[in-house]
Amino acid sequence: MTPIVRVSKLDKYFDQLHVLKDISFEVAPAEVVCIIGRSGSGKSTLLRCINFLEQPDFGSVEVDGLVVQGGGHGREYRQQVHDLRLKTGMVFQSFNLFAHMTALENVIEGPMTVKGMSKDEAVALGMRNLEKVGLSAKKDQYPSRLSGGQQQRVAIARAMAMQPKVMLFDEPTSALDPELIGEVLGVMQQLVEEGMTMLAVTHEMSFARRFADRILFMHEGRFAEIGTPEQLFNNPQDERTRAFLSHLQ
Amino acid sequence: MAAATSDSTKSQAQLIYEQQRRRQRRFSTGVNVSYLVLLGILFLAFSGLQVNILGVHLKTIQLDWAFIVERTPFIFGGVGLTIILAILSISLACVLALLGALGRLSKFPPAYALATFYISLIRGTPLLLQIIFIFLGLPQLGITPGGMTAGVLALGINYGAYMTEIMRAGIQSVGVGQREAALAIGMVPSQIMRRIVLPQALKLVVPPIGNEFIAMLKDTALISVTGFVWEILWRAQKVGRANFRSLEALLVAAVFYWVITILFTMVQGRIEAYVARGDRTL
Amino acid sequence: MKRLMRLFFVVVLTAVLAACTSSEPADLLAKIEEDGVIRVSTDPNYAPQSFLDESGEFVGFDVDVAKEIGKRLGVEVEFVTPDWDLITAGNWGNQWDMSVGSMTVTVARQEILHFAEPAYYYTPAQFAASDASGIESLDQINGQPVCVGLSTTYETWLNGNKAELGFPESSFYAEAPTGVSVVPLQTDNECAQAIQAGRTEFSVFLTSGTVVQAAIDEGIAIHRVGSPVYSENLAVAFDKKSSLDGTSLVARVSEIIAEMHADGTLSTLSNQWFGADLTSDPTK
Repeated sequence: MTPIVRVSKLDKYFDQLHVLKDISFEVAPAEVVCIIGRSGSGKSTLLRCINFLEQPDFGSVEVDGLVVQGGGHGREYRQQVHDLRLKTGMVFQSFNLFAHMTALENVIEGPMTVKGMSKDEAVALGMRNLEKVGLSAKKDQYPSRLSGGQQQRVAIARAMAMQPKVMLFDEPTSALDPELIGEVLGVMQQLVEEGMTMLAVTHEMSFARRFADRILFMHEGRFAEIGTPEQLFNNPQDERTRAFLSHLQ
Repeated sequence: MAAATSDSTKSQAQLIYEQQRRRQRRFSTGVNVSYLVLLGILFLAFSGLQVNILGVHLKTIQLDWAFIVERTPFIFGGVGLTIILAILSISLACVLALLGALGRLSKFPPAYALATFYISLIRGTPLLLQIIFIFLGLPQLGITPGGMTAGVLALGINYGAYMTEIMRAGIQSVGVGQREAALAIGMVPSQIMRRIVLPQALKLVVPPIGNEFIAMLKDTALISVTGFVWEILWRAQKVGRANFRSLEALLVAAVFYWVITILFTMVQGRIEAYVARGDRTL
Repeated sequence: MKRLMRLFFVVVLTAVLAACTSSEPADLLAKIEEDGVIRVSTDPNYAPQSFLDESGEFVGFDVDVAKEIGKRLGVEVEFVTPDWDLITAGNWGNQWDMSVGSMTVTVARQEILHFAEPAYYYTPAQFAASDASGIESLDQINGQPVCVGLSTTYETWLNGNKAELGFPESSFYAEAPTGVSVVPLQTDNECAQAIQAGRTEFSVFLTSGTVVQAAIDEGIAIHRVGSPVYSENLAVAFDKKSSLDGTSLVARVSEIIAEMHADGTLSTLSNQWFGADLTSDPTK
């Protein structure tokens, strides 16, 4: 099967710091890939490079047949980046709901402003997505009136309303109180079951173990080990993986 | 017995609460009484009375009350104009401040240069001078603004430069996460500015703009130098001079400015409360 | 965005061209007659020449003279109120057509303004001092600080620039006092008010005899010092830099003033406002 995401020879520097070193990997349609590793290992940067919130310095990102080279500029490049972002949905650690909009307005903003959808159509779509995350009753609430878990679920609905080919999760549960993590993982599980292609940076090893098809363990800007959850958690080959996992226990 | 029981059942929290309430009430009563005393002293200062207290001879300011009564309606006629001037000017200032802030944040060199040049030029020169320049300078270019137009232009341009910083702070206070979320769903910079950043920024700049407006209410007095705008100060100066009663006329003007300021400060308090409603820190 | 910019430039260019080529009548009098309105500047700082009554209406000698001129021109009079500095500085930018503001004809002003001939009245320049000062005669003024209104002939004369005034020698009745320091305030009336308020920077001021009288009438504790020191011709003024040709207007208003002298209208108004006839030239 042709991969839906293909990252080739990606390099990223922050000033002098070499954050991503010649990264290449592929994601198949409907595959769930979790990226794990210590903080500072470059996993969030890698995820943000895929929709060009961070611009890669070298290498390329391909999503659903659209290839964008890093280090570009100009009008054509901006158009490519824009198209790339339409193919990806992103969920942030700190939710980043638009503070001046209600839950429903957050969800319909993209379809209406970016895709030019009519309000009726967008509201129907938005309500379907809010229902999916179990928050249709909260559609008129502002983010400040929602719990962290509810905000993150609305954020997922907002990303899904753009009907992306692949969902990027950047530590979606790290900012949540422990008792709220479950509801967000539940929504993510639902997406897995629907066959959504997902790429998640996470500290939730239970989620990774249960739902990931593959796990990428990052260390200092490189993949130190790649494998199924079975291989990686039960029989890690690399000593750095072992050290990381034992640290979690 | 029953009463004693109910009294003793008052919880400690309730007792502390009541004590706090009593303290608050005592404070606000004290403040109000003090206000009355201060107002009384102010009135006394303008009463024209001469008093001997323990051998100290105190003089107060003597006013022609008949003149004040006679001329107050004429000076009052400028109140509406003063408020209209301030409203028009603050509107222009808001537009210019927004453009100035966008220019200051722009990566397009001419836009940045234009904005910083404007801010530097206007903040580096006195408002009074700007009013006279606009009033006397523009006619030389074949554009002859009336006194009102010149005044609104000058005040708007001046306050716009100062308010640029307010607008900029407002725009920059909108977190980077908001922009990233908007980028991630495919919005382009102009959409992000219009749909995401500005609505949140404007909410933040309402209170400081209210303060600017209240300051501007009094700076409208400077427009009187053009001679063409019959606002409060112009009226007071003319009737005061022609009748050798400047002090009286200016006092009437001062009272009007003060009352307007108090009223608009109250309005601003309401607006601030309205804007702040429902905001809960996360 | 680019289209918007282009549109903007087109609008600006059109406006500039329109401003340059506008085909208004080139003659000021013709334009005034066409509009049916003459715009007259007045400085309502001075009773009884020009001031505002309780209801904010313009009243005074200057105001009545202006209205009479308008009547004889067959047009309405509209008063505008620029500051005195702006009126005497010329270059009015067509914001008003004529000044009936008790303006003294001086050589310096004649360079930038046209004046109607003859003057419509004449005032004496008069020293006054606070009652408390003990100053009773002109020679006591030597070495004193003297207050005047800014940009007035009094300021010019006290500064020793008599030649700048360009009055005929017969207008002068006395020599300027020596060793005075001139204190210019915004208007003549400020001088009287400063004395009344108890300020002590000066106790003498020089202004028109009509202002001194008005101040005395208002109960300010001042008195005249000596007799008038010179006489001023006060005339209707016009802007020389106007883009419209004012020649015929100046000529027509001059005729009207002469008529108003001849038929006694000016004398009547003068008696009404000043309680005296100030309309005959004291030098003749």
